Amino acid sequence: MKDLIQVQGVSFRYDADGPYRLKDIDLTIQKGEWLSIVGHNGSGKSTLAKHLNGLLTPVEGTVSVNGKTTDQEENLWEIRSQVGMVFQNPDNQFVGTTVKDDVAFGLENNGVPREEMVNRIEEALSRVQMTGYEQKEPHQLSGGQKQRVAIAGVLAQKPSVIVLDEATSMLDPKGRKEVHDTIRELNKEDGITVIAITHDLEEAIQSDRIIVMKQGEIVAEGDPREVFQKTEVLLDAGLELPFSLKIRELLAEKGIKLPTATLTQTELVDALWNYRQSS
Amino acid sequence: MMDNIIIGQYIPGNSPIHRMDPRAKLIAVFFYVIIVFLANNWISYSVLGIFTIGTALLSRVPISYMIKGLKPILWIILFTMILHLFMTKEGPVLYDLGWTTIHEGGVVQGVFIALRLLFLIILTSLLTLTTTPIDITDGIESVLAPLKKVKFPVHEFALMMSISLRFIPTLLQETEKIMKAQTARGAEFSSGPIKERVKAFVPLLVPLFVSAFKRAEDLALAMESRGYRGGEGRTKLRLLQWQGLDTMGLVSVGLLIVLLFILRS
Amino acid sequence: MELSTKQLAHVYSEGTPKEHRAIHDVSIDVPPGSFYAIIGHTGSGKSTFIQHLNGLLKPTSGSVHIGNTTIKADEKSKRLKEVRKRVGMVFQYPEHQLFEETIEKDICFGPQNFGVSEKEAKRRAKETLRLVGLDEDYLERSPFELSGGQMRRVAIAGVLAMNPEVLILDEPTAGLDPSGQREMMDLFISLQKEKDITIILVTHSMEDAARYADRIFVMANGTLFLEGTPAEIFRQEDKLSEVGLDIPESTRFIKAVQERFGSTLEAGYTMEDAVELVDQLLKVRSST
Repeated sequence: MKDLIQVQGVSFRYDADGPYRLKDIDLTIQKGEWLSIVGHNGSGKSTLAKHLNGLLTPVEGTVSVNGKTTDQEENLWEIRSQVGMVFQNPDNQFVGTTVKDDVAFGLENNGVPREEMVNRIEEALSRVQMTGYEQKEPHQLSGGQKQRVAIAGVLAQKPSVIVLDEATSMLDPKGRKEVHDTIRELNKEDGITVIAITHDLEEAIQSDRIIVMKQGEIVAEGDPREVFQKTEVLLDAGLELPFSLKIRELLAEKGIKLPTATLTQTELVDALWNYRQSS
Repeated sequence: MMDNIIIGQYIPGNSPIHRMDPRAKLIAVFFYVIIVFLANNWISYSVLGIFTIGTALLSRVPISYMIKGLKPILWIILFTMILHLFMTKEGPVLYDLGWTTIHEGGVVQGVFIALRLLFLIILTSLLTLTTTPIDITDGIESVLAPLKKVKFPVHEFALMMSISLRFIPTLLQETEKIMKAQTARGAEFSSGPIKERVKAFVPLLVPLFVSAFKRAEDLALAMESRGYRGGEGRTKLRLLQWQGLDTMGLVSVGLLIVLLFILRS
Repeated sequence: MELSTKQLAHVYSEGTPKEHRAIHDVSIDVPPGSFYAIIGHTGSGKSTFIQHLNGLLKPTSGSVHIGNTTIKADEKSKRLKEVRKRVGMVFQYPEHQLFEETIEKDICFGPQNFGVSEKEAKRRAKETLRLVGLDEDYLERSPFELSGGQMRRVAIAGVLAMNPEVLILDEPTAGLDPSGQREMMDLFISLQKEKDITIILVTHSMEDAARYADRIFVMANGTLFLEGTPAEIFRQEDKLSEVGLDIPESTRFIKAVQERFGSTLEAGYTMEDAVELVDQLLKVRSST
């Protein structure tokens, strides 16, 4: 795999005498991977996300996308069309008066010719299953639909990375699933790199890699299986354990100690079955 | 509460007036507003009337709807009419009321002024009734484009308008929500003396402003991350297309101008 | 205080082209001091329904009974205010309703609207602020310099200070992080237990409904679809999925374990029940 984004020794604070929100972060993101950055409110995860497309620039260290650093003004526009971002509040990122206008917004900013714009909008909306909603206005859409339009707006720019900054936290379960399914498809089928910022470990289960943040630092890193072994670290970072880990914890209190962490329910049931066979 | 105000409301339709380019409509309305003042005798007013009512009929906006929209302004029209009735002392006396007299000139002037206002309102509301707000915005941006040369921020102005339009329904929903939340805490918005009522709106207005600022902040961030950097080098999805219809529309306004010049006395 | 509705129906914009029947034929009965949950999809009529319970909406037909007050279609609004004093409502994202310069003033807003003296209101502000887990130092601070989670607590304190007998909670934990969510729910449970408040919780979380509720109302298509204890409701997986709802993960897990182990042991639906079941299944084996 190819390195797409490199974060090197990044520290950040808003004021020269304020507290550091990020402390010496090193991180490499590869093309095509699905990375989850999890952490408590105030752990610095969103601050880190905003560095990835130059909305914030590091106080120390560098962030580069495809070799171009975010501290150079002339790189910013290229970087922002490469690294698309979907934010938390579905309403507050909907710029256009209709779905179609909203998807067009980024393209218009980048001076894409009109004929190409029309094609790209059509394609992007069909990727997120919003074809037929072109003329709808934001107040006629559900939260999940608005977030999918936001994703389409990013897709139309043909990005290599989509950053989702708690993009599902304000949605109901149905909307959350819609967005989640869309993202998985984009990652698996189109090979788009996904960086998902969340406080929900359950959501991170399907990703390729998880980074756990606490007070501006990375406290754990690895594939979900590795990270889930570190129950202590997760709890210390103020996170809620996913279901199968919680059961594992509760069973341990009763003297039933399962050797490895399981990710899904099916795995957990299997592990219990094996435990019985072996004891 | 918005139901009685028709200015700014759009009635979907497919009439020739609906299909006209917003630029053509804006230019036409602009000239119309100026030339309404050219009419000064019965025949020129008749021509103006035929043109106005003809346009209204052509738009196929329901007459009842137009009348409903005129109601709130009816008293203004009546007031100016009566003012002229008593104030204009020209021509032979029609009635002598003792304390004042009504002249023929007063009656004529009163009717003329009333008609002038009526025509103005009908035609300008036709613009908003047959054009979506966003089309009007596009039209304005395009019509004002030459002003860029004198550093007038045409693009920013248009973007500001379209974002405001986009957020009107959102803010209305929000207003309703906050009103309900405060009502649940015992607030009352609709009773008591006027001073109390104004005070009662503080619990509504403060949260509304706070949230509007939060939205503005979020929106700015979202726009920036989608590569917004002002109007320079920007392309547009919305395309305005000038058709034969639009030329015809402007030609007929031109004809109206010529006619009025010939017929006025 | 007893709370019930009879054949409650609400139609929005009746008699206009936008007419829309939001709820119909909803009859419920909530005994004093109980914890009820309402679950259902967005658009199932939940929020329209709960707004009737404190007189924010008046029924188009049917009636609401709160203690010995009845609200019908033609009710005078004066009576509604009396109802709002006894039935407190915490809306989604309640922090959006904060407006005063200080936290104390904001908490006092509700009680004072209902005729409580300034002195008493201030006493309650102090008390409720402690209840929601913030200390007295906060009273004089501006609510707008708090973190999101703290703002939510202050807003909830503002409702609690009205000393309601019934508390309606519309997704009170939405958007909070996990530890914040748990603390918030614990607070409500202790209120219910200690102050004998009736709680009606609207939630998308089957886990919360399973863990906290005595009884559950399932709403779908504007009316009551199912009603019963959590055990009764979550036994009906097929019916729930008909209206797009899931059973709690713990319940699904119990089912899976029972299938795999071929067990016929009685088991509940919560996480504790799940652990209990596994414990039994594994012990039975190791003791033989």
